[in-house]
Amino acid sequence: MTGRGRFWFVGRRLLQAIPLTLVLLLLVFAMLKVVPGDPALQVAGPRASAATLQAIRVHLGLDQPVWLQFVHYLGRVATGDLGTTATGSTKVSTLIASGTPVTLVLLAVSTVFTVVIAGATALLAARRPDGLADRLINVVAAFGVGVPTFWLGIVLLAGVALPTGAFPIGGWGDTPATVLRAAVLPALALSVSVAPVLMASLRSGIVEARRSEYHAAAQAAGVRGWTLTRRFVLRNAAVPPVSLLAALTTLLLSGAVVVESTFGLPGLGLSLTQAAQNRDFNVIQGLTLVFSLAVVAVNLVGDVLVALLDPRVEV
Amino acid sequence: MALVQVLGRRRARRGSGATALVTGAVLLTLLLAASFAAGALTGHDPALTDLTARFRPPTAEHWFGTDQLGRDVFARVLVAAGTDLPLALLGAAVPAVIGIVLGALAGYARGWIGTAVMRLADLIQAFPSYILLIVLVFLLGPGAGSFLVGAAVGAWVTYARLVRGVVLRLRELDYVRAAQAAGLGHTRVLLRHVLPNALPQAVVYAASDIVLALSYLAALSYLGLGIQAPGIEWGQMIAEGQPFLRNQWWVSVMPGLAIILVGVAVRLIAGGLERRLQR
Repeated sequence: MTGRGRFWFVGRRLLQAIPLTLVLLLLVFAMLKVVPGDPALQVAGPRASAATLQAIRVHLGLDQPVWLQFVHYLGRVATGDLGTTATGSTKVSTLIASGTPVTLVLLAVSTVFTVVIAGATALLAARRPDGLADRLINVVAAFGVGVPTFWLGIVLLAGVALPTGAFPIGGWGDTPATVLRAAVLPALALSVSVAPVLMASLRSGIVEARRSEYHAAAQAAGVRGWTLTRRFVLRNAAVPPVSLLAALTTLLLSGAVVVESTFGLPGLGLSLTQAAQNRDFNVIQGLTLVFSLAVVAVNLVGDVLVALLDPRVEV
Repeated sequence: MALVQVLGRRRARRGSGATALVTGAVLLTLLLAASFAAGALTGHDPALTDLTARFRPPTAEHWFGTDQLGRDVFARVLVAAGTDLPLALLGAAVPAVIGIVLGALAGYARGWIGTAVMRLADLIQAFPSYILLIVLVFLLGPGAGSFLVGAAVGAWVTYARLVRGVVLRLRELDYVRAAQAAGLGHTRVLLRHVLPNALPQAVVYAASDIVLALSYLAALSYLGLGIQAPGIEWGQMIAEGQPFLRNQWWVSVMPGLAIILVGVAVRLIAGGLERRLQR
């Protein structure tokens, strides 16, 4: 792919993301129309007079046509105004700003664990395809997907955190060291359910690369050991998993929502589940927007990465 | 989830798959049957609270110990199977049926229907599954019905893509053309001549999706958004036991073993089905 071709591909992919983003915004806006109950009545309380209700509707802009309400919503989102929490004490944007770093650290540590676990097991399994190690890893991987993340988190709390005292029983830290320590067990619980997918893809890539002619040629030329693995096997086996990356990140993000509750990590996922329990509409609406836009961005980055790495992608 | 199926894509293994299929089915049937006879099997009434017998560790008397109200955890785990298994089966079957119908429509009719269905599929995949599920449950209120709607909305996409692909390939083949030329109606061609070719793979997907549906149900209930007390569900039991993790780990840990057992049984069934289809 030429430099210009890449440039156009990235540009076109960016343009394609715009309509999807608009539809997502429309959907998130429409949530307000679907949720049961009159918003004005919820603000005013059950004993408010008709006149008070009408005044609140005007104040909230609910008397205007729906399309105008949507335009106003877009304006508020553009300025970062997502309303306040149900108690009115905190801005939703503040909540999102404080939760995002927690969720991002959790995702980053889980990604490292996932890649290390998947890479090591894939290399081990691909050593002798259909050998004992390969079959054992395949069985463990198949069941790893079925183990509930939150339950694994609880087992890690009861079996590792409590007896050893090396990790907090929940909650977050305030220095880099305590933050990392707080992230280790939840990230481990999270990666166990995701690593098998990456492992399967890597394993078949490695097996294929070992059967290839360039591998045989490199061997014949006297390349062996770790150099052979790194330069001729892993580099070629890594291309298909890169296209899985976006989907895996989405899986991790999805799992993080649940695992944050298990470990009491003050991230975006914990805010989402608490808001669902307390029926806090603004928080749900704001977080849904953040999560869905994050997935659009992750897929965008994933597609661009694949295009940059793999010369075979058509432009 | 298409991703989970990446794992299943291995070369055909030895054997017809009948043993695995039967073993998995027997495991699930036994578990379901045990849920109806939990009291008789364990010798403990799953609903009976006995404050003198709180937090007994696992023994021969109480296999999985007792909980904070002195209830037998093993009896409760068995009873919960009566909630979890039917809901997990439905949670896998409903999206499969919806996805197969929409996918067949999208592939056979093409035109604007096909485009609309596939755009909708793209849109749904823009939401991470748990987030979609939590938002839907928020809009509909917690409970089994909301779980089923959430599972259906999120999971039909895989089936629609699969079936649409097969239908698009088959509709140009001679035998389908011949059936159409013979004057058979579209419904009949679709149902009798096209769809049967797409179904086997969809059934394998649906079988392995039982695990996924169960993990959604358990996670929702664990978060307090699924099955509510006095209903008994594995994820809900795990959540109830979590405050006592320090000294009474069994209250929370034991119900998870049931989820893993179902996972094993479903893997056996899906693997067995796949091997039978590959023959």
